[in-house]
Amino acid sequence: MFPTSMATSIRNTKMLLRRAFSIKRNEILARNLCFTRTLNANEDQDKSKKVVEEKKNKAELKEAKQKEAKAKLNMLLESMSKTTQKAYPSESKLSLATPKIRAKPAKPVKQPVFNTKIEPEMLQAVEDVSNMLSKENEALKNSLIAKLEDVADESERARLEPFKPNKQKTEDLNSLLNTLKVDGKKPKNKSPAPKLAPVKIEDMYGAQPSGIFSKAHFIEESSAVSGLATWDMLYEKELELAVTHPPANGFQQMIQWTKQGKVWQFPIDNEQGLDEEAQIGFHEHVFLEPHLKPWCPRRGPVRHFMELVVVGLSKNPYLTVEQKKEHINWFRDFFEAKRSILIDTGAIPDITTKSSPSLST
Amino acid sequence: MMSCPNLNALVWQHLFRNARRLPFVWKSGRSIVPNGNSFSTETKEIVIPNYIPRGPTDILEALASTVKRDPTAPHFKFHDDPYLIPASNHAKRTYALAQEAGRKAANWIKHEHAELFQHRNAEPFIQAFAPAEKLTETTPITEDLLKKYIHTAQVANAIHVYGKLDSAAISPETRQSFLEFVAFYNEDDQLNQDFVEERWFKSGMKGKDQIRQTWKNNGLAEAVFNSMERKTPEAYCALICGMAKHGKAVGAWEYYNQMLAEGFAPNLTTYNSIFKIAGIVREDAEHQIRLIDETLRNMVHAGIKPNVRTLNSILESISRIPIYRVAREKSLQVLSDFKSIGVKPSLGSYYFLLKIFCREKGPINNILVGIVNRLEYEMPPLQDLHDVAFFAEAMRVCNYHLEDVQLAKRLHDLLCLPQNQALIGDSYKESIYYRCFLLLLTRAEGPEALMEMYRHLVPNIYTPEQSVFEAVVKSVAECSAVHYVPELWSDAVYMDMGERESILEVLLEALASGSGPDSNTVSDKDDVDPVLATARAITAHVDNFLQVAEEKNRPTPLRWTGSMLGNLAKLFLQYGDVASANAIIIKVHTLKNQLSSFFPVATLNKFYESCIERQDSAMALMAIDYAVEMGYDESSSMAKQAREQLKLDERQQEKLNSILGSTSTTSEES
Repeated sequence: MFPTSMATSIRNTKMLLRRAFSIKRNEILARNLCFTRTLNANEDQDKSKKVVEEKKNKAELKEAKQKEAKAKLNMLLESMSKTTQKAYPSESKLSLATPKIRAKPAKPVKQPVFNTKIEPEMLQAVEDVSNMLSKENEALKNSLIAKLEDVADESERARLEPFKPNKQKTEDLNSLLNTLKVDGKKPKNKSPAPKLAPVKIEDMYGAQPSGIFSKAHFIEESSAVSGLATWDMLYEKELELAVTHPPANGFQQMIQWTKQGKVWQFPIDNEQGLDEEAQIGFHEHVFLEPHLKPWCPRRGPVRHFMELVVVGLSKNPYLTVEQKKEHINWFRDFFEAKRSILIDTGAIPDITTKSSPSLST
Repeated sequence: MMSCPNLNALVWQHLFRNARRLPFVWKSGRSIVPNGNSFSTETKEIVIPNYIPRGPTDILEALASTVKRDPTAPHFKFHDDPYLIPASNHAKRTYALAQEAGRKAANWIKHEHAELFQHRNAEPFIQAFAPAEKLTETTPITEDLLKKYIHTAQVANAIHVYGKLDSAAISPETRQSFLEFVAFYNEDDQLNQDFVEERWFKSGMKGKDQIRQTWKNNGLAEAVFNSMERKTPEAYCALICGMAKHGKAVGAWEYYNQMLAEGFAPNLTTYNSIFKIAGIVREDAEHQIRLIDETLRNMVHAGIKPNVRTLNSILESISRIPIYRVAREKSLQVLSDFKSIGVKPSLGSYYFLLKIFCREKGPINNILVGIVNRLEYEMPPLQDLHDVAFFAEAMRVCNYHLEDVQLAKRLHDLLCLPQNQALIGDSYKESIYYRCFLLLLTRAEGPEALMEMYRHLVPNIYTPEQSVFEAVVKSVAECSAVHYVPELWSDAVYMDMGERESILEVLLEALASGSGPDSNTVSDKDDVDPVLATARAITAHVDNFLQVAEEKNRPTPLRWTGSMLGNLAKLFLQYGDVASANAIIIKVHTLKNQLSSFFPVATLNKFYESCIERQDSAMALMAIDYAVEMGYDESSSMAKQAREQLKLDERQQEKLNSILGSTSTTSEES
């Protein structure tokens, strides 16, 4: 049995070596570091526990082989990482503050033969079981403990050699699990157990008010007018920008364009933006006769002509009232300039003495 | 007779002024006719409803609210062209910003060549289309210009104009306005508000949770303040607010005390700023609370009614108290206090409540349930800048704190309402929101429900990050819902994640997690199972990618790994696709040590068995070779089996011996 297991252990080492060379270099370094550290730590632990260790666990065969393999591996890896060892001397002469190693409470060691790998509760349970089945009490107990130790060994090995390539067992388990058809849903809400007890709040307003506001008399305008007009304007602007996102549809795009002043506003108003014109009433555009009153003769060809002009202007939507007035005044000036001719031709009566309206006034 | 035109004018004027009301009269008149009341004998009084003044965008907003988001279409901002629909986050960002860059280029030309855009044929003139007036040496510097720049938030220009203006000539009102302006923006020039995209993507950069001191010490704001001969209360207020806004708590506190010493009464905004910095000027929780209470009492004394921003500032300050119990009790008390004076919390208040109650290491708290109940009943209007942070935080709480998928869905329904969609904040908050939502679903939902929501969100509303996508694939794989994997694979390619090793690993793991061909699944036209087709597609995709990378001598992070090939081989064997499985083993054989993880031995065994079944000695030798190379325990038994059950010709025998040479010698030695 020994040679074969020796062979396996050697092959293990070899395999590890091969792996180590086949993987990336930095990975090797990282792994070696971790690995040596774990092993060293393990060794230290071993030393500290030595006394206890010696008492218990009379080195089963398996364990011994395991250790041998480990030791070999350790040697190998130590030789590989000598540089790091040099760089960090493991023992410093300085007496630094170190965490106290808590002395383990002396256990009531009932069965010093058994490994402490198995927790005392577990041992107790084993004992209980074997006591219940009083027949073959001892044999049963031993076999149970051996089984437990196997498990403990297994996990210990797994911990020390986390990347052992022979994953046959897990692989098999995986494939077995995968072939199972799972059609049920996963349980909903698998929340991990909370560390602290959950706090439920039934009503957010359940708390007793402090009464600060109980006798308050607020001046109503106080909140409306803050005195910082520009500040408030800018805050409003920023608030609006905070919810102005890339438009999600054509309407939103139009909203943005409207706010930027690029399109007509709804509801459609074809006088939008004509603020000057909004000051002037409709009648001022249409009823222009009053502008003739001060100077135009009440009858005759000039009056007739000017009435036609006024009607034309009242229908013209393109001119402002100012322009219309200007237009009328231009004719007034024109007729004023041609006054003598007009009198000569009899277009306007030459009644300068009379008080009726005339061009000169 | 003479008065006749005047009367006419009056009538016309009256009609003209009321012309806008006409449509509403009409509407109400018409609505009566269909009821048939006009024919009945009883006379019904016609009530003309009051004129409702409408804003310029009201109608558009009403229309926009009828348009729901179409998850099957890309966002509106992208070009409506199948070739230009982005799927990955990177593409989305690039396309959107590219479009904005075009807008910026146009703006630049408009600005640089302003002389070309001086025609004014629109009536009324559209100011937004006119090039901005450039500030030159010849520009007449006036106070009105300064006012205009302040109004349009052009910080750099305003500062320039202020510098040029004769300081004695500026009216006190403008100076005050300028002080508020500089304090508000902290002299930083603002992004043109037309550049929506840039703002959407930009704001994620700065973390708003942490108060950082960004205030410009001895900057222009303080200079303007000092230049004032008579310090008004408003000037103090502006400076305090500015300092508090930009993280200079100590300065704000000093000026606040100075102001009180001078006998000035602070206004509401200033009080709000003081609440905000209460946690910084008073380190101890107890003193902080005392300061808050004291300031509130001062407000009551001055008759200033606190508003919702006061509430939010107080809660923000409380949220920084490290002691959980104190913060919780005080915040509830403040809520009750404010309720008694009729101040309703806004989304920002809820945001801070979540910060107070749902801390990372604190106890689980269900306050969000109550908040969502309230929000479903009534959504508060936008009032505070912190309001937009609520949804992302609430979803984060749903995911990491409560792990409550029903609540998350209710929250999501709230956000999906058309009027609430704008409250998501910005692209950064949006991605946090959806990331948390999907991660929660991957943990709490079965594959059907998960995939339903996934299809709804991805890729148009949200593109998952690599980790989220991996979580989705893993969740699907855990339930062996292999039939979803082809879809996920095509999504991965679509979202530019088809070349990432970790994604490929999980996808192949998921593919191989199935139990082999299912007679119920619909095969495609070539009678290939979609899962098998996906596996082939992945193989071809990776091979192709590696080949292109090699040809172009481009370094690539993607490489075949043992587990990827193992899953592929396993799947091909499951589906009886021997040729593809052989191709995989050939790949394994050639790559061998270049693989960064091991080809699983179980799959190797399975493959070997199938080789023996088929009497394919060449492939079997390759499998043995790999097993020996990797030092698998099974190699010797495999070799034994090969000798017994395979017909090997001489060269193969030789090869087998040479393969086994090393192991047999070692075992003999030992």
